[in-house]
Amino acid sequence: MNSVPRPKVTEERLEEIRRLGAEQAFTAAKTNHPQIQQRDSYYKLSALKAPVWTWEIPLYFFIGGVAGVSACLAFFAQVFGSGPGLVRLLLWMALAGGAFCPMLLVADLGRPSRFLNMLRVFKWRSPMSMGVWILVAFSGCVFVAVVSNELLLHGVTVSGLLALRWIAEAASALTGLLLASYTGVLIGATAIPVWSYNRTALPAHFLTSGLGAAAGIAELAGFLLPVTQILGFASAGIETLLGAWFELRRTPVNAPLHHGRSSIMFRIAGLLAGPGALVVRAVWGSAPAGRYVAASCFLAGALLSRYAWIWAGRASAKDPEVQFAFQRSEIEAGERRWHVVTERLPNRWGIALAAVVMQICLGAVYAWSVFVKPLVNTQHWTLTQVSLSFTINVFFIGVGTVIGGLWMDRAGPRKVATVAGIIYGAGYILASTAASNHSLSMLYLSYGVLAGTGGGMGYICPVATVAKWFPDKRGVMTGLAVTGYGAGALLMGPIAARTIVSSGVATTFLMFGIGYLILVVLSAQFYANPPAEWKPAGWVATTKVAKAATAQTYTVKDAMATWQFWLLWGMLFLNVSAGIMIISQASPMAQQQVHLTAVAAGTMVGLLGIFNAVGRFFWAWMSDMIGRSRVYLLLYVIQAVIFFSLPKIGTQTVFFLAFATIYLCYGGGFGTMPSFTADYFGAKFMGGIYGWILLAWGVGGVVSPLMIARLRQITGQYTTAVYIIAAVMAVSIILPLIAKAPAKEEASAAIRSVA
Amino acid sequence: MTKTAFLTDATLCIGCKACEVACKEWNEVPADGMEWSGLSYDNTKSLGASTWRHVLFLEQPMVAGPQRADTQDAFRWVFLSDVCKHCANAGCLESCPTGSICRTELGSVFVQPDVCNGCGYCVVACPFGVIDRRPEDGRAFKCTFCYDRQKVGLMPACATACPTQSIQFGPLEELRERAKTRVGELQERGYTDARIYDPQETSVGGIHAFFVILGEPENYNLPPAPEVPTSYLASAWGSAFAAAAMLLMVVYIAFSLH
Repeated sequence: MNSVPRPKVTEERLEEIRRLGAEQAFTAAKTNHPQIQQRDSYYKLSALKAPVWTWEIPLYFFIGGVAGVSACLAFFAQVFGSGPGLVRLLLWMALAGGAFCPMLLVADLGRPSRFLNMLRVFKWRSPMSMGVWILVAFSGCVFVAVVSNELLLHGVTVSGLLALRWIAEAASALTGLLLASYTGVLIGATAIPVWSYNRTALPAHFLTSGLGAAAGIAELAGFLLPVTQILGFASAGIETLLGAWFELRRTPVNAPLHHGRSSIMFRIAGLLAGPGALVVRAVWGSAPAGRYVAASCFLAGALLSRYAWIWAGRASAKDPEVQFAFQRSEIEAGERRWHVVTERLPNRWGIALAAVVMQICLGAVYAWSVFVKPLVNTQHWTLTQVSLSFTINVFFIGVGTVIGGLWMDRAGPRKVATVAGIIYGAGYILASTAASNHSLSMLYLSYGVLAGTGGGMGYICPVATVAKWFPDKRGVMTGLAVTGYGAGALLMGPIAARTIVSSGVATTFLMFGIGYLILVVLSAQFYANPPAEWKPAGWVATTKVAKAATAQTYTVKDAMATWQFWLLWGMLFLNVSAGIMIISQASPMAQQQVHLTAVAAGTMVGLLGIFNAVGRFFWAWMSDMIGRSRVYLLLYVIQAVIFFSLPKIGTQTVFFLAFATIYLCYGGGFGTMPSFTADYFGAKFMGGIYGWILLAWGVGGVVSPLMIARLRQITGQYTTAVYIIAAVMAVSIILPLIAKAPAKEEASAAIRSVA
Repeated sequence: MTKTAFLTDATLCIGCKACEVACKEWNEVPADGMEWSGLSYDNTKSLGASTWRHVLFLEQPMVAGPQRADTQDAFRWVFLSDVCKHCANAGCLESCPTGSICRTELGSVFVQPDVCNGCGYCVVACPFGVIDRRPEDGRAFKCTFCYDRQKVGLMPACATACPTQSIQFGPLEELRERAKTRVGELQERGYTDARIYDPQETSVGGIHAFFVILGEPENYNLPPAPEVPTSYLASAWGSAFAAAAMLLMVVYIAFSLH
């Protein structure tokens, strides 16, 4: 064999080596001597600083969560009369947590001796500052709650002590909720990618952990009640869902939850608090031992998960490539939050949420019926005397909308809604004094005049503000705000009924007054008008309805000079009056015509309230698609038909359905009118214009009960009265048919007069 | 007072680290360890509590661009002196619960060492990973923009020490103009990937210490779209309130069933 290689092969081989060398030299250089190319980070060195917090902070997150939710549970246990033992345990848990938390926080400081510096400033924009103040407020409230509760349990009777305990417990519950949830905001609003990426899930996650842990400790302390069982199931269930969400959202930013040391901890924690606790509770939950195990599982999981989140944050801070890639993807997706920073716009969905919260509080005036009987029984006032305060209230709502509307066009919604919240809350608080001093005139002044005016002033703010922020979804969003109003009584009525039973009318007025004052004033702080000419990014008015929504701007004076203004006024007035007249007769009609008992009829009317709320949303949503005037046309046609056939209905089911539809239409009138008004006259002076239109509601609310009573007197029975209303409805069909937006010439004249 | 700024130019930096030294000397910043990184000649690695200027050494292959515009070198070496950005909307300042971090009349962001209690929240709030807590001291530190020197009419120590005018100091608007002119010049001379790093269109709203760089900002560990964490507040609090409302409902239902 010739051992000398063939020259050609050697030559080829050499070329091959040269080629490989050229290609691979780069790779070799990269391994020995790293080079930076394209969008590499700087040698993969961390571009963020990892959290410096040591073991105290995750422990603080856990204990703060347990303490906060404990205070919240204590309040509910007190309201629902679950026994002094449970209330006492939960309050002491809250106090112990509230005392331990500051120690943990101070221990983690780099300069513990300077911990008081935290109280130098109050910064809305710093979750850490807010958290410290929340903790201070919480500890103070819980301390007062524990002391007053203990005094009461030991038989001390000082006047005002009961009220003090209620106030302290309610305040502890509210601040407790903040304490348990703000920690999610604290780490969510940071530069650490995995935290800020999950910022919307974190508060819910932390609150749920707090809930399950608080209920779990109560169980371990021997309170094996049905309520702790339900809460245990609920929190483990929600944790399972959240765990699945974190697990399935397999994006690069979430890598610390799926890979590495932090992911092991995170998954163990998630399994313990979620499926683990859930399965143990489902299978062995009937035995005490099973419940102890389930509670311990959840507690361990909840505690571990706080550590896991901090570790995930550290891992996330160390990965610049993921951080940069995520930012690049946001640039490419055009999902940058603020394009021009000088115009710092509020989130319009936040405004919508605040609007709903505020409307729920204001709509609670409709839970008045809950107060009527206890007031008659305890105060020796007649039914008519007590009922008059509601009529006064409704009238002053009308007055309030006019005042509030005109004022908000000048001062902006935040100021007006804040004042409205104070007046509304003060109305309730003074009504409490009226009840304890047996002063009827004071009740008229407080619940009637003050709560009415405050409610009206408040009502107009969210409606007009939401109309301005959502020209693209005007109907459905104003409808949503108004739905909150309809839902208020449904939510607050049952709670008020229970508190009246457990602690009396006066205390209930006081508690609700303070609660409403805080909630309305807080939600008012979210309101702001959009800048002039503002439109949602990328939105162009294409549909007919949407085009109408942006066409023109009228001042209050100019709007009132058009016939369309009075047409809308009349349309709302007719819908409100017809609705109230029929609805006020629902209970007697149900008893006479389909032979329901008085109690059953009462329950039916209560249930129908749901349709009032649903109708507000449903018709408003419809109006975005088919137009506002067509919705009103439908409302009138449907009501006319139902009113005509109402006296002939013999079966209970059909009767219920008929009234459900009437309630839907009644609510629909309120739901659609704000966007109707904004479409016709523009959103700029919406406050004043819609304020005047809402006066139709106040007038209708006062006049129509009197009218139906008069009609009944003259005709002697419901049937004729109902037919007359049906006939009026049928004739009213003309109004939406002739409705037409004010003409362009008038519009430009209006704009000139503005300038 | 007029707002002042740094313009740090990577195309002029020679990697001498005089700025790092001058900064440490003037501000009496303690040593921060000695450790061989194995990464080019950069053994400082990043800004920190005791590193307020940091010179980066980027070793790049030819594809990133030539060392000199008129050559075909297979290798490019770029230096840049990194510093606190003194953001228009500063995450550290917004997050500070003691009010220790404040905005000076010069537009810079200043940590008052006599107020800071070392809570550590600014550390995770900085989108640039600049500020950090000094373990042996417990407080947070970062570049002061030589506030003391500026108050008596002196330039910051780093700019004074820089031998190539890679670190320039002056009125904010004037330097912004100068940066634009400089990038124009570089582009003309063939450095087509020269650009300004000054994230004005994100929620950070621009920085008072901006850079002229070659290539992508990521290569210098400068985030391409930094956001001030306060921009996450609305959604985080919104979710907290919604979750609290949900919890109230769950608890209410649980007690009603009781």
